[in-house]
Amino acid sequence: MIRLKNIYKAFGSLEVIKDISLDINYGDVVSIIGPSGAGKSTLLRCINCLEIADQGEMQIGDYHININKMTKSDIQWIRRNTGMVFQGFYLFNNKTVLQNITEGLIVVKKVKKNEAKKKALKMLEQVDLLEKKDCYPSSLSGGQQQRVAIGRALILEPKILLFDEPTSALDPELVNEVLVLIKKLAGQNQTMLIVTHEINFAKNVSDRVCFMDQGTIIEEGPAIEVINNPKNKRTQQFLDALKH
Amino acid sequence: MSLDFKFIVRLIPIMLKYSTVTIKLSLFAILLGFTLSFFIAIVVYAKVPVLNKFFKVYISFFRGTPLMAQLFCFYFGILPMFSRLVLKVSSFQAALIILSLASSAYMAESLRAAISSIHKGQMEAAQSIGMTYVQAMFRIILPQAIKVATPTLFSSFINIIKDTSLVFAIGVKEMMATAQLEGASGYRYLEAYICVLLVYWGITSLMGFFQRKIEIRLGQLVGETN
Repeated sequence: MIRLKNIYKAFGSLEVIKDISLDINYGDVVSIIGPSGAGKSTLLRCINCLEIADQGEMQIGDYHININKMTKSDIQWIRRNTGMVFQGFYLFNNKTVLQNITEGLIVVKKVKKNEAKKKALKMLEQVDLLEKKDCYPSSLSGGQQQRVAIGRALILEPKILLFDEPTSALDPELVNEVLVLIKKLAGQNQTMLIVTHEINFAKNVSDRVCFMDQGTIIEEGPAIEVINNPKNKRTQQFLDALKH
Repeated sequence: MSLDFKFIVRLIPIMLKYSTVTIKLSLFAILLGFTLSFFIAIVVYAKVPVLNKFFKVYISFFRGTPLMAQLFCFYFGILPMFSRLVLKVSSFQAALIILSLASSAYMAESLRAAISSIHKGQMEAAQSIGMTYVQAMFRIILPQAIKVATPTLFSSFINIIKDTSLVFAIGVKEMMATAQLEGASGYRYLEAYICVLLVYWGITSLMGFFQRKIEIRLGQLVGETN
């Protein structure tokens, strides 16, 4: 399982994450909701080591890391075992769709080119973009780009896949194709941590939901419970505001 | 006094012969300067301690002082101090060294600007799949940055070619020196310098042609169709 313990992160004097602990079992889908500026994205970025937390502990499977004593090889290990899907997709603009997916296999996992290509084609089938394999990102729609980005992360078989508002940059009519894909992955028992503003989606797809505000997890529980009957007042206010 | 076309026609082949010195000097300076600028740009962009500070002063110096003064200082000032040592530096080599150093300062700035223009998400995405900084730089960032930098890099290349006209001042026998000599022999300065201008224009136009070819090729690498 993936365990975060007492994670702290500040930018200058601004404390963005204050003492966050979170356990995620393999196969679970956990969603994080909350107002902007709550530290949701920063938490994901700390897990993927795109930001280095100030203190705390992380455990991924049997791998324990004390963040204060984290070495470069720890960071590399973490990045190779966690996948990240960004709000802005960030596909490699100088690579085709197929190359975007094989890149990690070939460069990071040292898989042979032929084998990488075979795997990537299978992955493209799964994200339903096989016919776009030789296109460059600039010619794809936002939804298609995000599906490639999911494939790029997924093919490295991460122990956990992190989604940072995967549909927030998409046109409304393109949101669904990405959500459908994430749901399909949930059905395949892919461990996922999703930061999202799509409350209904969070309710449908997640095992658990965390409500985050001002750098802390304020409420956590089974998805339906947290979203339909929030116990905390701030969670109630946040969810009420979204209904209008 | 009318323009003596026969003189120009007679002079062009002589100029073309000496243009090989210009072209040789330019090509080597472009090659050396560009390689060096690559290294400088990455060091400055990645903020490598100490070296970063050093290259900032380096860029400031070589961009902020006249090339002619650099040439004179190096060839007539610095080199004689070391003349007792084994190394014997010809005026061509001295010109090559200064041209490479000076142009690398300009090109490093072009490259640094181009690297900065690539969205930081590209680096983050590369690192998130486990690439090291260096892998991300060479496989993802630089190939995109080169495309952005191509127009300004070619401006630098063209500047190098033109700046080679200064090196006759330290005794490299190239086109300018020849023009002065031939012009003086028949008081035909106008014709002599027109020849120089035409040959330079020819060489730099060729560079412009290569630039267009390369831009199209680099465009194809990110899926642009023309």
